[in-house]
Amino acid sequence: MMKLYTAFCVLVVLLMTIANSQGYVMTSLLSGTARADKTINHYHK
Amino acid sequence: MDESMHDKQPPSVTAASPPPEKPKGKPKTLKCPACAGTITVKAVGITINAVCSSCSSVIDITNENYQIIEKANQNTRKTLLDIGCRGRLSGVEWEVIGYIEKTDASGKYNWDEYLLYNPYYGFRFLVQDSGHWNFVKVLRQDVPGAGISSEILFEGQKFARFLTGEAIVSYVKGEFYWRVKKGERTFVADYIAPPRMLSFEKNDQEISVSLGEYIENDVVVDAFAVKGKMPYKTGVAPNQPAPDQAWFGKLWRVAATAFAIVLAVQFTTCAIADNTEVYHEQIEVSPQQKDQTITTASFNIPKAGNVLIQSSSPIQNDWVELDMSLVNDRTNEQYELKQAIEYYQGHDGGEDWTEGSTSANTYISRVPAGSYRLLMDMDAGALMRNSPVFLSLTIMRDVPAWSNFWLATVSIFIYPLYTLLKRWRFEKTRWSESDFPPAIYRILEQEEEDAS
Amino acid sequence: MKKYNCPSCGAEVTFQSSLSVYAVCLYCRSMIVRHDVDVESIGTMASLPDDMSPLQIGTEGFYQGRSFSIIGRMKIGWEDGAWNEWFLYMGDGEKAWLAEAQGSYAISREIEQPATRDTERALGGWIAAFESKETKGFDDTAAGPELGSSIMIENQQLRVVDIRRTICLGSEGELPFAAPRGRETLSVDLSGSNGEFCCIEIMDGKKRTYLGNYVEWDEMRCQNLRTLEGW
Repeated sequence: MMKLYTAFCVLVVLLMTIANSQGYVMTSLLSGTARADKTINHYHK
Repeated sequence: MDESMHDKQPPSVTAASPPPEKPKGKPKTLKCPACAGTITVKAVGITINAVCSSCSSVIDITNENYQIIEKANQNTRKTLLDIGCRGRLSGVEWEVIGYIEKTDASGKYNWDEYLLYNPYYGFRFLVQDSGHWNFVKVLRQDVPGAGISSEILFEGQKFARFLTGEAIVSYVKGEFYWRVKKGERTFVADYIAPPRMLSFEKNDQEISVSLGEYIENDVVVDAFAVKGKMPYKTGVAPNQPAPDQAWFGKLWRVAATAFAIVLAVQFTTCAIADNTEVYHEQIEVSPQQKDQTITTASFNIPKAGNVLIQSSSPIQNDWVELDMSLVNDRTNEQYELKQAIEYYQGHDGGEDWTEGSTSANTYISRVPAGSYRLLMDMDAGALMRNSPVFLSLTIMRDVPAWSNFWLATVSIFIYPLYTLLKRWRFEKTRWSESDFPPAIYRILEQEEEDAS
Repeated sequence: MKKYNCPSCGAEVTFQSSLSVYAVCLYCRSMIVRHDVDVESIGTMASLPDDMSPLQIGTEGFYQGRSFSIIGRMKIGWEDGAWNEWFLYMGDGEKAWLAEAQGSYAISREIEQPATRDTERALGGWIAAFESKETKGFDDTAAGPELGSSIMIENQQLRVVDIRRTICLGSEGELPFAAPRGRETLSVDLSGSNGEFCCIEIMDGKKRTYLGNYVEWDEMRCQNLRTLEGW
């Protein structure tokens, strides 16, 4: 069990480091605002 | 021999005739004075009370008189480990030479004690209680505080008092090196430091302290080749080691290390974040504009990173809903988000209450560098009532967000906390049998008592 | 090492240690006492009761880094059993005792006990309590030496464990004093929290103090042991 948990902690630390350095915010990822749609928008006013 | 005594110079015996051979050590057999059956004594010279295996009478064998201490006329009871069977524990071979069954003062609760013998290493006890086994050694050193203190310091370890009570001999079989008698009462105090336990015993004749070590059932089965069924384990033994004892400490050390790193990463992030404002506008939306899409001027995001959109409106008991899109001027990629600003307050039954907030903050992850505009469609209670809405809009970039940190922290500690809860439940079960449980294991006891 | 001839049977009697003054002839079991130049027989020693002891005269072992050799034995009996006192001849020529009782071993050496007044007084008190229990019969409050009855001997805190009347059941080999059957003593046992062992013996009004510690079987690394059937 210890090995599994240690590996898990390493993963968490790595993911957090990558997320912070690349500007990923977990709460926004989870709520979906990270997705970008390449649609031509017609909001020209 | 007589002749040599008359000579002036007795002849010396030469080395050719060696001295009489010393008999090798072997068990002693004697006839039971009660039933004439055969009694075999293994610990010759040490055993003082032997129980006849034919009639169960207890015989005193300190001298050749072989006095009957307790006459009986019954068959011996079958025990899980037979008298005479041998087993290997901690590298030493032991022979079962005695068996005692003891009960507590109420008589409803009993346990087994097997006397083990090895002529070189002496005696040990194998105690079986509620299916749990302990390997016990009588200590010769003085243990200060035993029997009176609530805690004993022994070999650098703290032993906590677990129980005090009485032990009464209810049945004996085999041979013993002390005067064991049915009905004999002993005051007992047990102290634990799992997997070890110090047992203090006192009766009219003497005081003794023993050190016990919890051993697993399969160790006993393997050592003594037990054929019968081992008694079923119930509850948690006083000195039973917690199943996670070996790695519990390590688990928390790993968690603490991971947490420390995560904290350091977060502080670094906060320190090097640009945290700059890229756009700000105070927007007034009149009722006539309510179906129009609001567009901001273009603003530049020089480097990829997160973006924070902060909206606020000084509303009271009202609501504003925003449908937003962050649009890249060049690629037309857009990030859609919704924000709801709701703020209500009131005064009910003498108390002020508030609900919601006058602002809304939303993060967007990893927005590439470029020129952007924010487009908004607004719905608001004020607009529906033909009143204007005042919105303050601020857009920041490279903001040190804390949600990653909290998510990482929770992830790290979920398993250790679960293990802690399991451990607490295990310890609570352990101490439920004790009259001296530490305070933290007494939580919920009152509720359980009330419920029952 | 000195050799004499047994006055009864003429067999060779060896005194390995200059400290030994008494020996039992291996051939005729005569009890022999050594004076300055000659030896005298003071009777015959009956054979000792059997036991399962793995030790014998000639067994060698180690105690606190020094080697020892067993050269004599006394079997001591008391109301609730018996034990062996083995006389040890240490590598450095000193003498010591190995008490083998109920499966445990304790090695001790005689010391000149500093007769502090508190020690003497405490000792006197316990012995008086013991003797009154003997004459008046069982007394609930005098149930054995109580917790708290401890003394200091050579800077070690020792607690009284037992007081008993002992009788010599027999002897063999060589010993530093005559040990005929029936020799009586009053014996006070004490132990310390670090395995220290002390025995104060009173015989014919004379007090002897032995101080040492309990030892484990493996620590002694004994050799030349007695054969035990089935072990």
